[in-house]
Amino acid sequence: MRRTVLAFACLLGVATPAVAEPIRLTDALGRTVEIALPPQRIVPIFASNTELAATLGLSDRIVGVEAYTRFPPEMTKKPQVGGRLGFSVDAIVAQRPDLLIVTPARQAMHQLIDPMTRLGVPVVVLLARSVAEVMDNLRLVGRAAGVPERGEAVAAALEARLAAVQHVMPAIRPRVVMITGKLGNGLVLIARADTYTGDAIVKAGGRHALERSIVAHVSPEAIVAADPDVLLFAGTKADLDALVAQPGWRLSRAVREGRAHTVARAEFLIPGPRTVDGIEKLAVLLRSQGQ
Amino acid sequence: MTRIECRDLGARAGGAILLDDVSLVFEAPALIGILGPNGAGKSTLLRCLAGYRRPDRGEVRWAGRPLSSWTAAERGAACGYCPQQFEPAWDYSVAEIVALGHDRSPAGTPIVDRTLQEYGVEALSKRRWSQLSGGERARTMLAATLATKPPLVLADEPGAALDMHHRLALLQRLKIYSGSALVILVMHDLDLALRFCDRLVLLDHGKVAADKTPAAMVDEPGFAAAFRLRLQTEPRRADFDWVIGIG
Amino acid sequence: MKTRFAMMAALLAAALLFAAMAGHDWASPRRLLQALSGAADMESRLLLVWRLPRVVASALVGALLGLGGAIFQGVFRNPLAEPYLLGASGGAAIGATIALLVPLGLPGGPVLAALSFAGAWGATWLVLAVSGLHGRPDTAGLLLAGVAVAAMLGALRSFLMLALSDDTVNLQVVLSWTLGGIQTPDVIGLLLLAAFVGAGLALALWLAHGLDLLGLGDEQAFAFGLDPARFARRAVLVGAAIVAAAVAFGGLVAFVGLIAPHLARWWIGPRHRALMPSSALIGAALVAVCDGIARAVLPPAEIPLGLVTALIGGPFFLLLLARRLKT
Repeated sequence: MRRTVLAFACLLGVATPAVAEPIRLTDALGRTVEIALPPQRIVPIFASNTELAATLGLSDRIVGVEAYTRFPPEMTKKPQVGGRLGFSVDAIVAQRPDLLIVTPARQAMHQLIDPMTRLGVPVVVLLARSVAEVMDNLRLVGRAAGVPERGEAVAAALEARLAAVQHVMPAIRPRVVMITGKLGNGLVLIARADTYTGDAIVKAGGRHALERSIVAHVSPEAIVAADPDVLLFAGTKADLDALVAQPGWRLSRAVREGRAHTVARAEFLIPGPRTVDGIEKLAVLLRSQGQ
Repeated sequence: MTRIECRDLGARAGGAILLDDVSLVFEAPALIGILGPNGAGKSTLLRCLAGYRRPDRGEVRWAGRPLSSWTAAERGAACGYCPQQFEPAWDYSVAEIVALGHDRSPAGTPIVDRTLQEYGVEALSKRRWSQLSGGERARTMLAATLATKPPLVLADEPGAALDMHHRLALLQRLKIYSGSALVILVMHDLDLALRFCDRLVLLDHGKVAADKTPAAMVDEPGFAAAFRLRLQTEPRRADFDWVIGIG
Repeated sequence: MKTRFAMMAALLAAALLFAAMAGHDWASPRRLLQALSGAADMESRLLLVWRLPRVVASALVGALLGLGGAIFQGVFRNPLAEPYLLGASGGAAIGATIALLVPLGLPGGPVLAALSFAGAWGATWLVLAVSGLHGRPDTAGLLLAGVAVAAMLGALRSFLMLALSDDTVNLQVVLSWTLGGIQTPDVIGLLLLAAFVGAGLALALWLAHGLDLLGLGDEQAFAFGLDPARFARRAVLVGAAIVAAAVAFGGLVAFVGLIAPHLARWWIGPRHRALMPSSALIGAALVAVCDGIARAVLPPAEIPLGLVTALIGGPFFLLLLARRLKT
């Protein structure tokens, strides 16, 4: 009799669907987020978070994206929950999400955390202050989605590629300025050293030509005076040509000697797996310019 | 400018009728006084004659041409219009104001100093408007208005801010001036009007109540009635006499 | 009078010197001379190619603002009138928003200047049309129409900014323009700007006599042979074109158009023939100095020019208040 009961208990133990423990993690803002069940309906706000989720194979579970998300291509078919004019709590709720992944930009955080939390939808906030943090975000999203092994695997693979790049660093690292945008009053936006973009430049083998910069917009005079070895421009060739046609740029050695290049915006301005692609390509470029 | 006239002039503001069917002819040389109680329409009439206000009905003609066909420059050169109120926005000096008055004449460079002398404001020439008294301001405006010796002068209570002596002097000067020009004044001083003007036009409630010589106006029954006063006349003995009522 | 002009010219020269020295890297007068004499090192060439044209451009923009401000103060007979009263800033901002956010396939710099000019001037035409609907426009009518049009244009601009921005070009681009800032012009741009200043000064002097008369009061101006309404309209259009040119090259720079004519009037008197060039000189010196400060305070970034001028605008008004309370 006792053996039967024991056998039955074991069967029960095996047959009962595993009541998963709730996932508990700390997000980038130090918030403790509790996710009861592995989320099946994920809404990543911002293209970067969508790419993180997609890389982890969670594309099927993504039920809503922001209007500017274009990669991977199948994401453009997903329902849109916000974009230029902000984020619609109604549109998000209509997708019945059970996880929201957010980055604090463009009011997303303020608009969404409170309402979503009150509705019982867990919100994970991610920051990308360095390339290492981007890698860790993969792990974090993996854990949040209930697939921690996948998160670890993808992150480890990307980190291995980064390590490979580090191995072939040139002895003399070129001084680099990366222009990421242009303001209406003639100032330009550059990648600051303390951002993941700035970190990516260093990981690709560059040094920052402009050491100190409190804000991201900088006078062209300062850039030309800093005389970087390589000038990078996150945009199209046409825009780069239009920029350097303006007074003063021709004085920069990088421009005169053909060391002004474009880089893909998606690879340097979206903190996701493609950043590693960007770092690899940039490393090749910088090595060839290093002479 | 030998003649100006207005025909069937009508003007309203909101619901009130300011001028009602006023038809008058003025011929140079003459000194004409426009009299009437407050609200009779004197200033409005002067403004219409000067062209500053477009009448709602009727028209004004200068030298036979409709006033609307005169350009601003022609008008400024031909006429010296001295409005009742003057509030300059900037602190001009006396010399500057008189020079601006001079500028409307197309003839050569103005001789501002002579004008200043003539009107007794030479001593004030560098003083700024804010530093002048009411009387000094009035004399400056007159100097500026008459600087180009316009053949037509329209002035709205030019002596209002002057003391009695200066008021008398002003009218004496204008009398002499009107020997070769057409001078039309809106006045409140009945005694000065009767003393100096060649012709008086009495306005009441926007209509011409009487249009007579001073001698005839005194006997006009509507004259005192318009002012709701009884008038006593007394012959003067000398030029600078001023008769005051006592008791 | 001549000495005062000489002093103003000296003031401008000092301002230009300061502005040429100022920047993310202070340049001593010796360095400047080196650059001007054609030294080949990068620093000198950078001064010559980037900084000095910018200093000149800033002074020219300031001159335009001084002229425009003086004209507007003359037309409105009010020392607190300023060039943006009749919707010029709202219209210019719309032009700039379209230029910055809509990919028109044309070279960016000239398009930005052209559209902000068209917007600024067009807005003034609109205000004149609106206020002229009821017969002879008077200054009060102009002001009311100006406020109404500015409000509508502001709303339209906000809408355009939201509707046209996307992930590559965002609102910060337009906002940075509205805060004011001089971009180093190329040779053609500089010549064009100088031509505007020359034409602006000539037109302002042409208007000077009428503005003197207008300042006597509407009725008195009429008495002295001016057609006040027609002249006011003409003066407003000229003033607005001058301001539009300033905005096209320098964005929305606050307060200079208000302060420069005010100071000029204190120094040289109300006659506009002398006031116009004085206001231009003082405006030029003001903007040159402010642009220098904007470049020098937070290297390698710059403070928007409009912020610097606004920071001196506040104390200026306090100074005015103190003077008023004293008299």
